[in-house]
Amino acid sequence: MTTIEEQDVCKESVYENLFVTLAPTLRNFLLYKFRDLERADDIVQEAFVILWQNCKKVTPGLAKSYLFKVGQNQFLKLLDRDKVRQKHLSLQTDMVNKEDGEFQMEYNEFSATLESAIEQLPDGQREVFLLNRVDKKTYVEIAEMLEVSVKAVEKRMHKALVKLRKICKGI
Amino acid sequence: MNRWEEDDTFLSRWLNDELSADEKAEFENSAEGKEYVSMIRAAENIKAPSYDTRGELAKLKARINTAEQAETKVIWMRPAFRMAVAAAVVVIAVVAYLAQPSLTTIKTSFGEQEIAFLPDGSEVRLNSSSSISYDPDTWNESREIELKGEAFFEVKRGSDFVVNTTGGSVKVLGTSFNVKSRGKLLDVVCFTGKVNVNSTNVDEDITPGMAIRVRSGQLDKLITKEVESGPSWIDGITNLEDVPLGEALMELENVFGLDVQYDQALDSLIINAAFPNDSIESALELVLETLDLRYTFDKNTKRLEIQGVN
Repeated sequence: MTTIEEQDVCKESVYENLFVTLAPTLRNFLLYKFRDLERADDIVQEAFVILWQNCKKVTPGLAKSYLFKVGQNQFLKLLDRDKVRQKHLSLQTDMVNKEDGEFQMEYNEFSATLESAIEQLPDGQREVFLLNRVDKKTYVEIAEMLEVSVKAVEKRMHKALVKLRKICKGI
Repeated sequence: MNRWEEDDTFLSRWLNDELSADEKAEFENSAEGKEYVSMIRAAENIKAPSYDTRGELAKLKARINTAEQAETKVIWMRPAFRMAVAAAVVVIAVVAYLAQPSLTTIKTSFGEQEIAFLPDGSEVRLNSSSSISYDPDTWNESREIELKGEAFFEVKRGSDFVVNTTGGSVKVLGTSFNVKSRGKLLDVVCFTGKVNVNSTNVDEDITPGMAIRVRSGQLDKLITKEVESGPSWIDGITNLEDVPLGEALMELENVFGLDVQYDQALDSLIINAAFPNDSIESALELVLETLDLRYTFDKNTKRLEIQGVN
């Protein structure tokens, strides 16, 4: 059994553990949503500073949705300041090296098409698609992070796929 | 029409391997299904840029340490230097302490409420997106407090107790009252005792059951209303009485942390409504639909856009 003190976010080990487990996903989520890598890294830092300042009020169980909320809000504050700047996702595609040359080329071309299609998805669909496909988060985990129902996540994922196919085919 | 076009979670369930074997085979063998399969395969090669978790954690800890050192003047150093530096720090700290008042500040973010006790035992309940600050060292000589936003005060009897806001100041002896200073409006409601409200062109005493509104330093109205033991926001309900749309939206921002877009021309609309602080959807309905406003709300970005009147 753990005592209340051990579950305290103000405790350094608990706080560090939260960072190690949540920071990478939070960073990717912010990147997918706002398409700005440098700022995504900064906002993760800021969100965790704010969590530390409020560690007495936030329990470890609530820390996840708290961080995602604070992160989004911090970002929105910045976006208000400069709405105009064009952003991109800075995703990377691994080369496929097992396959023969011709196939590989087609494949990588397709990946590039897919990436630009992903950029064109609405924010809500893009973040769900990438959190699931790249970060391997389950629908339940994503629903928790975004504070929406699992059904809503499933619908967005479905819509994302339909839309991606259409964009890739040029429909 | 195919199943995957009618069913709005079909592709999600396919990805999650929740389809029956038959359904799956039928889908993956269809021309369209094959395209989805190769798309998902291509997606497997997509990676997010790497994230240096340990490095970022170290950066974060350094940042927190610097912030805390600045706050508490704790400096880490080798033991040999500690004594000498400790003495120097004491001198600097004393000088700093004498030179400037050390204000105590209590702040709430959107959606938060907090109860604070002042040095004389008076109680302050702070509503969302509000802050108070006061100097604990001079508290016994003058009970003076700065308020931004909204708070409910229950003041212990004693010398004058003054709440300063941008819209004017509120002075009492010992009583309970609510002060709300948002934007151009200053709303004060007296629950017990007697309260003096002072601003550029206002100097009014109000008694229990009276409420006053000061707008940009001028008396806007003085009304008598039925009051209970405290304001409704303490019970998680925000009351909007005769407020312009802009103020109502500001209140929604304060409680839910929304990002609101609206046309200033709509500001002439006056709202009378009350909304619960724990449900955005019903709050939006209650506030905006009473005025028949057209709006869109994106749950994810928390962006509320008001397009106009229906």
